[in-house]
Amino acid sequence: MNEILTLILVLGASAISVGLIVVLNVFLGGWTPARFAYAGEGVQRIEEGVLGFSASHEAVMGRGGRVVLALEQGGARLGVAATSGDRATVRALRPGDVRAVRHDGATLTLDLTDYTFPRVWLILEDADTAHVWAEHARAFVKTAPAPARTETASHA
Amino acid sequence: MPDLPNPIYFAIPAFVLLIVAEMIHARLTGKTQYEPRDTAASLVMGLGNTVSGILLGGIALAWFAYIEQFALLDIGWAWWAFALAFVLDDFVYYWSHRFAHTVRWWWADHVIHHSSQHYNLSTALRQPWLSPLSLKFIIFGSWLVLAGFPPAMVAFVGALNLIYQFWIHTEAVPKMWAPIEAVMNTPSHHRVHHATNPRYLDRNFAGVFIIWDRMFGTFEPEREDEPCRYGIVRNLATFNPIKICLHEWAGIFKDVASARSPGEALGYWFGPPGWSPDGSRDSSKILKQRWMEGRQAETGEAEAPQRAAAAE
Repeated sequence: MNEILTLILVLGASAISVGLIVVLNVFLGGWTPARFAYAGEGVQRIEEGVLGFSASHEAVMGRGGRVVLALEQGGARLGVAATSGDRATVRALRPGDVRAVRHDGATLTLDLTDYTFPRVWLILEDADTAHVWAEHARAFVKTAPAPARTETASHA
Repeated sequence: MPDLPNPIYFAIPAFVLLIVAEMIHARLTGKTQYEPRDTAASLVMGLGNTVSGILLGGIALAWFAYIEQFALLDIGWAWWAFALAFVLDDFVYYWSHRFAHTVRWWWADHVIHHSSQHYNLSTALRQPWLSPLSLKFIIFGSWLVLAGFPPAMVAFVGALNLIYQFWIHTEAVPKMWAPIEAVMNTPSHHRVHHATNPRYLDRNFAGVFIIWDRMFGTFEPEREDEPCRYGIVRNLATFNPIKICLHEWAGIFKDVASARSPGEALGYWFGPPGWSPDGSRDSSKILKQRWMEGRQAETGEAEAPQRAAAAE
């Protein structure tokens, strides 16, 4: 009985400690939500994070600097860099890695087949830019043919 | 048989105090970062690991109680037996840990510990919830019991090993005195282990003594000209503990379901992380090889081929 009580006390105290530590973390601060200042910064993160990924000149950053998309040279992969807390997560998407592509005005949404990274959405400069990048992304939708290439945006 | 306590229960208050101290140090110096959602995810994973240990640990305990009857020797409880068990357990830990990085079935369990892009004391507590189900304890946990060490002693020294490993998850401690760095696993050595830089991938598997890595060719020192980038090759875009816990298992099941032959299914299940039938995915070995080739092409450095041989 004593052992069970000790166990409950240890677990209870641990749970309270977890809560207090997180509150302390919030209170102390010291981290900054990650944002890309320009598309090239996101491209650099993709190239650092995906060995062998060499971006073409086609890259675009969503408003607020949360997401950057970049086509690889040759168009074989679509690079994605998305901020997550004070860090960024990157992917190099191959054909089949995108489940669906939607764009509504300047908003572009990619549904991915990735369990921990299921969706990317970004607001682009205008509807035309969103349309162009939707077309780029559709080349990576499951059952899609080889990626189509369109010369458009640059590392802005 | 002495009534051994679980030393981890006694260590928990120290863990909490040290995390708070490092958090304040991080705020004052800016040398490391704590981000609340990442911290919360790591600590919840740690708490869940404790709960799952209580719920599922019985599987391992039952196994050890069963195999004890087949022990070769009856080593007993002498003080030297504790010391010997501690060293041998660390040797077994090295191999267990090495296989946890090179067999996807076990990586699915261990990847949780590596899934933070931060490296601080809370990362030490980011632990899996389903370890007993990976059955790693049968392959690696049985040796000492079969040799004749009492299971409770093995569990005790194993807990001490884990407690030692807590403090090395920090960027606050720079490289230490050379003799310590030569023998012990230190924050510097373990930073390398948690890094995704190709040079550092699959290196420094040690628990307490770094000598195992030096002996078996997996040692890599931390370099000032190459800061560690922490996390995993495909970092997670989530702080959801359930997804953190299950993501690699989900990947295995998805891949096995899509396999075109039993051989492919086995490859996805027990091959190295990143294995694929057509080699289109990136395993650590492929990444290191590609990095070395690129580096050799760029710099023509003489050390690249040597490292390529060492990586084999």
